[in-house]
Amino acid sequence: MANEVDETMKRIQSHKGVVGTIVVNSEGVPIKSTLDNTTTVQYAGLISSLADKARSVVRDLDPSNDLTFLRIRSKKHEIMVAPDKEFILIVVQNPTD
Amino acid sequence: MFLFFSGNTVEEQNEHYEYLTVGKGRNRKVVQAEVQTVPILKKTQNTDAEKIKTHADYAFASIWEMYDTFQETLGEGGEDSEDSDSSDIKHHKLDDITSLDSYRISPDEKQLNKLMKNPRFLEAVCVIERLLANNCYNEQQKRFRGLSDPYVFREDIEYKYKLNLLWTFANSSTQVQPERQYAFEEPVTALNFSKHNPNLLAIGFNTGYIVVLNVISREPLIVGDNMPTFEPVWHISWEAGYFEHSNRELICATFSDGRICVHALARKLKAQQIMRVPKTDGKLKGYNSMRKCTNLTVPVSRYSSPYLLTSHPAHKQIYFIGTNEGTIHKCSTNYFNQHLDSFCAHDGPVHSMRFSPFSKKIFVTCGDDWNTRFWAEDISEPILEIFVNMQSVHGLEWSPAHATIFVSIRGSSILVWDLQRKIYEPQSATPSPTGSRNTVVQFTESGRCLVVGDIDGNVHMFSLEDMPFIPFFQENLLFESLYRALITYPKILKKLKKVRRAVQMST
Repeated sequence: MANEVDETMKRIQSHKGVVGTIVVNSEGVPIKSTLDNTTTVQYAGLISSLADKARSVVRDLDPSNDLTFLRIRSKKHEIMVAPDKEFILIVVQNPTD
Repeated sequence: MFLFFSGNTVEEQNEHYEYLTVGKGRNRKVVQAEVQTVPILKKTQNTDAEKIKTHADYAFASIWEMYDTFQETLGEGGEDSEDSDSSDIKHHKLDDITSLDSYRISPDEKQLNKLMKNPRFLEAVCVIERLLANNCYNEQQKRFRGLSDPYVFREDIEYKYKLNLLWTFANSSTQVQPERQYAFEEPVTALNFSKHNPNLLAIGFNTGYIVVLNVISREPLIVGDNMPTFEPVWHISWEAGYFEHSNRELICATFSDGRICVHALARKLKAQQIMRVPKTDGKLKGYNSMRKCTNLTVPVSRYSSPYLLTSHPAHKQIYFIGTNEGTIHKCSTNYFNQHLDSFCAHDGPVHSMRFSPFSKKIFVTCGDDWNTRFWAEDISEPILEIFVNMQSVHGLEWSPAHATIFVSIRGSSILVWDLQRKIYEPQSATPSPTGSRNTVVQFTESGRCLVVGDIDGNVHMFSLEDMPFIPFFQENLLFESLYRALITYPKILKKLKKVRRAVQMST
């Protein structure tokens, strides 16, 4: 069981340019991360609230719609967020171009 | 005191009782009589009650929360929450069973393990991997999809027919995982996607077992299977229009004992045998094959093993079968168990037979006897023969964009040929990046990219660079190039010209 988890995280982490991967549970507490503690807690807190806000934007515009994915491109990184009722999966990548 | 109770006192008491109840004492006045109640003593006392804790709270109902509540009251949401509760209970039970470890695993890990089983988490992981790959291989993916074609009007154009490696799917690579992985116990020998329903995949095994899977689900979702017949399935494909009355897709499978069966898609696939491929004796037309030195009077099996099945591009009911003896039989679905025609194509097993996408009369075959042969439909001998080196040609494919370009794989190199320019030498020869023997090659539909698979399980994706411009009259160009190549064979040239005139008159 623990092997599957590690394997999946290693797979994502081994893609070119991936800086870190964080899995956050439904209460907003990070349960698995490849980054150091302070950064993890920061990312988890900020991204959770941003994902919630994005979700309420989508649903306010059309209640039958729902947020599936969120990508934030910045000058240095790209943050990919897969939000869900029970988890939030956050991956930070450094695209090469 | 009881000693003083003599009979006289008792009698007196009885008389008194009677006087009061029955006698004259009954009407006595009782108004003046006094009665006293027992006093109850009271005292005030204090007790302490706990203060009720109050806490200011608020609830915020947005439009979508109201919408969600409405959906739940419609009954759908209720079931979902029940399901999630029961699945939680199940998970707790599982954790309790392995309770030895569960004390050591932190609650975080337990939560993670539960997440792993969640299909939505796995899908999110899949989507993220796709996006990660896209960020790194953006250019290559654009090339593959045909979104960034090379600039047509650039100044330095040279026809180099180069192959540019875009990416490789390798078995051992930890970077790229296949999105679906189905494991079976027996070796898989053939598989094909359905054209009508692209989510159905038909798989043939070494034991003759055929399974149809629906690839939408991550777990193997078997839509239909058959009884295994213990003969390897060499070729499986979905053909439509085999029988006139229906345009349904049938699964056509060839088995190693010479049988060709079609199955209709059902929970239990029932085989209907349409052909049994016999071994041929005597001299066949076609390629002048060498005489075999066998003096067996009774062969081991009277049927040869079909390796491939190709449909005729014009007549849907005619199909060609290539066997492991090098003969090609032309059969029809209207006549079961008989063949219309047969000819000898190669000295060994025929690996591939392809009709040209631009002409329904020209086809090319390749086999283990190191040769690639071109044929025209009404001519019984090969038009052209190509030999490079003593390596078996494992596969070939016409380019869907150019009429005269085709690609063949022999050994670990990929050869690109152009009939328009020269036929004795390939235009370019690219070695495989991993150096292993290639087994299969296929063009993408636009003709811009090439997929090559090899014996080590690697799949390479190439894009074709520096190719000539697409001609306007494809069929014309193909025939003209063949005429030019046949200048030294006037008889075949005459026959080919007749074929061409027949084609032109019929269109």
